[in-house]
Amino acid sequence: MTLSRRELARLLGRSAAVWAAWWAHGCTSIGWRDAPSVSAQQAVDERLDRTLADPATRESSKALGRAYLESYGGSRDELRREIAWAMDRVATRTKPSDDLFRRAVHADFAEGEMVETSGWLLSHTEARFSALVALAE
Amino acid sequence: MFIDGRSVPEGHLVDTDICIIGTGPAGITLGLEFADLPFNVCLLESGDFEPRPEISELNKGPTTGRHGEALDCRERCFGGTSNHWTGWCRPLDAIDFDQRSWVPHSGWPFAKDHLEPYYSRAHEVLGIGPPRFDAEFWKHPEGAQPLPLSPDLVRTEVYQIEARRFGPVYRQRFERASNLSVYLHSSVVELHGRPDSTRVFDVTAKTLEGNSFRVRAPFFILAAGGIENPRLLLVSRSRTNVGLGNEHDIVGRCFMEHPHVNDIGFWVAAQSSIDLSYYRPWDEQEFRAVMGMLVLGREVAIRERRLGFSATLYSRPDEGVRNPLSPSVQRSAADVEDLDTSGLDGSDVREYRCYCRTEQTPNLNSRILLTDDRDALGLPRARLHWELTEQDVLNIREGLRILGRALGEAGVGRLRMPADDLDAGWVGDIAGGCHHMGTTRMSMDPAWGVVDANCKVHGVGNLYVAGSSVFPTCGSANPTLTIVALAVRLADHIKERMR
Repeated sequence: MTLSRRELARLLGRSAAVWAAWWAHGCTSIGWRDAPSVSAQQAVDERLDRTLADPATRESSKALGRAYLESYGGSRDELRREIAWAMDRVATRTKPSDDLFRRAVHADFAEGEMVETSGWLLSHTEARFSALVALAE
Repeated sequence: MFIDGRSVPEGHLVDTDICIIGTGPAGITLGLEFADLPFNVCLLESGDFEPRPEISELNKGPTTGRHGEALDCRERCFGGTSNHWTGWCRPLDAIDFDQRSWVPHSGWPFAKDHLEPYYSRAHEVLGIGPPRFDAEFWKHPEGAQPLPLSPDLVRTEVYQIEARRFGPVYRQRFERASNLSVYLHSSVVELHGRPDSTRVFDVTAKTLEGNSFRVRAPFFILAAGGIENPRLLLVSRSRTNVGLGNEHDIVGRCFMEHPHVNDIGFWVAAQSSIDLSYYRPWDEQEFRAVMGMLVLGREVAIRERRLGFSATLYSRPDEGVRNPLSPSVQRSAADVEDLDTSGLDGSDVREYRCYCRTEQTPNLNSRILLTDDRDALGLPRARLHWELTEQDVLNIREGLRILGRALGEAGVGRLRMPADDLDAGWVGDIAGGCHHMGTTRMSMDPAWGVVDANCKVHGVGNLYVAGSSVFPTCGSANPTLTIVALAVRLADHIKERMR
């Protein structure tokens, strides 16, 4: 499970004891992540714009995205953030010219981060992106 | 020398040194190994040189569970089922011999290394190429390459294909051998022992004409296939009333097939022209063909506790070059229209198919039994109950999942998974490959095996079994190459005992 600072704060409340216990536990039971980079978020938005402008890809993505949302749910912000995080995760391992989205998808498969949506075995990142397309309209 | 059993006088006794029951790939290989050695070998074949309906009728019997055609796909004639097989040859993988904690009753009494020299000799019998199956060795003549999949997940290997018809190919050799006598039309109906002895003394052979004769020998080898081997042991009750080698009620149990799933888990390519030529049969000068295939990596199989899984890939001529997003592909729209290609290159996405064959777990309830109904020779008919477990079905799906992961990681494509519902249609469509295995399984423990590591029946001093019925586990490779390798090995063992 991975949460942003804000989500974590909402879950834990402001109890100093809870925070202390969590820190004492080594922050390991719940992952800690900063907000994704601005560049990654921009890359997600650009990719979304391109997909929405292509009718064939848009429609196929929407169908798939709806199926994903039915099974797993997710808000636009959450999905956008997860995708951007996935891109940030591979950013340090890629050349500037690399397509970060594609690298993130590759990393998902390499690490076994896959999800079945409408029967298709997809990387988590690409499935989330389809869901983002479905929510975009 | 060939002898028509119908011409043998009623009650005649044939004295020989070794009696082999069955002349399929195992029986013929044994005969070849014994040819022109200084002892006599008698081979008993139920049929003629060609299949005959009245003899094939002896194969019939009821089936329950799956796979209604299993009993009919055998051939009773000189050469046995090799006379209509497809010739796909591949050895078992090293892991198939291991004891695997997640596979009940797994573990051969020896490792693959032990069998390697016999595999090499089996290649000669089968007329195939060098004993190599790796893609590094087999270069496509036109430069086609294997898919760039992670070998940790899925590696490309090959089948060597040579559908050698043992009957026609080796008939002359058997005619000329000084010490081989093949009795045709001679179906064994019982192996005779005595309660006070651990030996088989003779066997009774009968013909459809009504005459019968006996064959007496110091050694007997049952090589009649995965259905008939247990059937003959179960009907042979002169020594014990449970059948030969059946003191622990294990004869006929653990029947295994290779579950085959076709036309499922198709995938689409990211590039406009994925070249699958490596995975199509390509001609070889020395034998018929080589064909690439995919097999699970050893590490992932151990890590994810998977059984054997292999796949061949192909494109369907009528659909292979279409864009699945195209409105023209309406008839398969349910399968492909909702594919998101955002992770793939371009829109020229193509559809391909894969054909999976997998390993079945040894399962005591999957078995050969005798019925009250009798065939024309008076022998109780065999009943086959082929039963898959949930683990077997799950293994197919999880194997596909690993394949899909490898395809995705390589950027080659995406795989469509079959439904995870055990009642789904594809589960009902799982078929066998006419590979009948496990029914006289090998184990050092008589409680869990019919034969020991030398293929000798536990508790019977002079009776051996050849063929895939001795496989304790079956991997995903077609069995014939291993059947022949084990027959070569058994021949060496018998020759040693004959000294």
